Amino acid sequence: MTSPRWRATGAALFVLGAACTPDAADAGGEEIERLYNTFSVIAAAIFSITAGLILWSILRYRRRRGDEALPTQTHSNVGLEVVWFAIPQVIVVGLFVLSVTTLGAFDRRSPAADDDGDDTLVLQAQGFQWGWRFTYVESGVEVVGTAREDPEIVLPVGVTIAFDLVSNDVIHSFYVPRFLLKRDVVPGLDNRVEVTIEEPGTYDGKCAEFCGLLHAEMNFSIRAVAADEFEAWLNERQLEMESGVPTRD
Amino acid sequence: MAEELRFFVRIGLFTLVAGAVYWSLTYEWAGTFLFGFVVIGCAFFAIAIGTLIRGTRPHPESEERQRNMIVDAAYRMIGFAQHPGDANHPPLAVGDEGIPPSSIWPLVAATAVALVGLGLVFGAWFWFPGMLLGAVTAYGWVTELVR
Amino acid sequence: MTEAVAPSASHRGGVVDWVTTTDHKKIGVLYMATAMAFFVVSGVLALLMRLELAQPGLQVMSEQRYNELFTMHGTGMMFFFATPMVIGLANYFTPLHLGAPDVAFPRVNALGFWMSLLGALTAFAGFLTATGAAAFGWTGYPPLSNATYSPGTGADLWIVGLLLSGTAAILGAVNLVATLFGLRAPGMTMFRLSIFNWNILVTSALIMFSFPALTAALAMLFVDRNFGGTFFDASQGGDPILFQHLFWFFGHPEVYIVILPFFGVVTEIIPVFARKPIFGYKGFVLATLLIGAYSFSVWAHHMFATGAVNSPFFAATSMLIAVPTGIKFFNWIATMWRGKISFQSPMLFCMGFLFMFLIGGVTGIFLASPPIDFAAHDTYYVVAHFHYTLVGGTVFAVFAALYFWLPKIMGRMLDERLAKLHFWLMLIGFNLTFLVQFQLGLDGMQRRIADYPSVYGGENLLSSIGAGILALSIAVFVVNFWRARRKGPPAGDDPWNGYTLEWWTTSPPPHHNFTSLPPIRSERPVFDARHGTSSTEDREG
Repeated sequence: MTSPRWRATGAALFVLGAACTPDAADAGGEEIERLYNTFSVIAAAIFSITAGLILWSILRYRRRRGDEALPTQTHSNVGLEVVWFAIPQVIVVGLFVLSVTTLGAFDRRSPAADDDGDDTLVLQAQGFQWGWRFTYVESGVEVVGTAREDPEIVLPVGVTIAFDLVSNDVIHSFYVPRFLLKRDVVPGLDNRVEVTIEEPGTYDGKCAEFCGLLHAEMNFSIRAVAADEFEAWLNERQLEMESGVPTRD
Repeated sequence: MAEELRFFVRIGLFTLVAGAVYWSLTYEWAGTFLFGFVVIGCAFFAIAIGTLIRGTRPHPESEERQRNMIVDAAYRMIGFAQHPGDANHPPLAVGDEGIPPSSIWPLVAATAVALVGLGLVFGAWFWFPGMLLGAVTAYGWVTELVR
Repeated sequence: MTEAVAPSASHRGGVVDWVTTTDHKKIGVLYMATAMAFFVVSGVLALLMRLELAQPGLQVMSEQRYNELFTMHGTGMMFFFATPMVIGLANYFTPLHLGAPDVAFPRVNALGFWMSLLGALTAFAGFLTATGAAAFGWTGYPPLSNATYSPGTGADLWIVGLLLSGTAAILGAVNLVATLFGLRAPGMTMFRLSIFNWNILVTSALIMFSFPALTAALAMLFVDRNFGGTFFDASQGGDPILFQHLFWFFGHPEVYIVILPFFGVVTEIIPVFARKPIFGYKGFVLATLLIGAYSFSVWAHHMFATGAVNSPFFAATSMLIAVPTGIKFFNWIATMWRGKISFQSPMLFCMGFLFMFLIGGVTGIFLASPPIDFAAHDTYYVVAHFHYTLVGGTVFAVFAALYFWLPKIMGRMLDERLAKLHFWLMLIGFNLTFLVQFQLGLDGMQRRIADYPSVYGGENLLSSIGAGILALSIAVFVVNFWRARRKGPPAGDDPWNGYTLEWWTTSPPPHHNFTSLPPIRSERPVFDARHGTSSTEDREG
């Protein structure tokens, strides 16, 4: 649900040959998408100006055949050099401020573990060689991948969801491209990330830190549905768990 | 030598400030220690160069003349009769005199070190000959240029 | 200028001569030849990887083999090609630029080469073991790289090989600093050093202060693997993140180590081919010093995704470091401005360098922003970024340096038409390979995966085709070089109308480099001597 203005910017940049982010499906991801598009506009400007100047020099100042005279031997121009020190300096300070502002808005994603709002849905995401095990903490429902099938977790739209990231073997990374979200899963570190999904849909998840032989196979998916559909699903899984019927995934 | 000294002093000071800022923001030990080691390294070089400068006789000659004396000494150390010429000095003689001698010891020393390294992986069959070769090399290297 | 005479064979010598040499020029050639050999070897590993990645599914190799390939490709390129190439070029040309007859410690110089060769062979010997070569990425993060998750000798050989070649690098750097400070010819004050030498000076300082961190990290990893250490074992009170701090405190200066000398090379070539002096000499010096100093304070931008570092500090420093690089760019453009530029092969490769490194540098700014890095880290976006800086930057500049300086080293010119074919094939092949990878990464393709979902198939096929074209371009260079060795036209002392002291002596230089020197009154003494000028600016610092 990015605004039409940003969609247009993204499209324009794509046409210009710049890369663009996927359509963000979570609130934090949208912040990042906005930041990325701002950076892209500035980067495109810097690139065009600099590349343009290089190209101009190549075309305009070619040596003519037979012209042996030396051109004017200019050694420096302090004024110019101060300008092209100062302007990039100002630009990077601006980019830094933008980044830190977004990071601040974003840090809602990484609160301390005991900082939950009452409505936060908490899952534990455990990465292991080479799959994922998700546990809905409050209800105890568990979803695990097998060698043949990646785990699919169902999540409600519009609710704050927290993932506690746990590993007992090597470093993995919890990555959902459509949320522009990535956080390493490190043995010994208590990492937590939060998402608020805006759009229903199915979103791929991957491990993004090389973790050995089958790193490429360590995937999962998130199916985001309306809150009531989620409640129904969760209750069904709880019942399955209590009655002893094996979980489907 | 002043510019060389300034080189290390500047890098050292910059790193000191960066390290102080880093510590105050993060209280993270690894990064702070690493910054600190760079500062110590720069201080070491600065002290060494400073001592060298102090050791040169103070006299009113220009930096260039001082430079010539240092270069002369260095060239003599590696076997040159005199430094290459400018308008006031005759050029080097053409030919083979004063060339750094070739030496087998660098290759042997490298082999010794590699054997010790492989010994860490494969055991005494490697590091023991490596140490032996290392001892031989130390003797050979040091005595090679003693006439 | 001076008549071109066919170079004598006196510099060639037999095997014994090469194996016992302490001559900086021969050692430089040894370093460079070995570095190019590892460039080809590591390049073949990459070609095999791209062959596998051309289509979804595993067709050519197993996952294990793929993991070994990308590990040794990265290790080979960074440690056994790029860094030794730097030391080789510096070995050959730093004394020449200084008007010196050799480096300060010739035997230690040779020791460094042989250690670096033996180190490289040791690390690659992993391929000969039963469990294969190291397979945890050139970054070697524990716990994956510890004995539990990477058993086998390949990993230990990797560690020992890097310890050997890392120590060699430190020895080389110390030698270069001593040479730069102690063996300058009369008149060569610090502010008359070539910009190449200023870059070598700062690079040497970076090597001296960063490689020890790598040595520490590797030693601790070795202890964890083999002697029951728990430095990086969280269950025993250790910390995997500590390894990352140590590794990247080395790793980030390392990338400046492999680019700064090439900034220097480009700064030597552009003025010569534009027939103008370096624009803003002091600006270049300042920029080099700033990059060197900043490079120690950016390392944890590689660790934003761990959540374990202070992101704003490293975002600030990582963005600040772009400014001095920008100064260099604008000074290069200003050097070309109102010049009279001819585009022979060295200059052509410099132009490629400018455009490609610009892309690499600008995309780096995106990665310096933590929120954006969360989306792009560990994806093909990063792979594209660092190939634009390392291949678009370093490798293009390596070829610029080779086309510029091989005539001095061999005494023979290379063929210009083959050089141009090399350039265009390389430019096209390189961009085809890597430009699509920015989008691939943002679309979600992570790095270091042997196989991928079929939705990424189209871009990967394009990328693999590009890699084939890139490889072809290197073959063109090899042919050019091989023919020129015996049959290239004699180069003479100064085929390019150069500025710095190497162009004052013969091609190749005699054993002791110079029989005479011109007066040294500016950073371009040969230009001054040929044109009767001297610097009117007082640049004593």
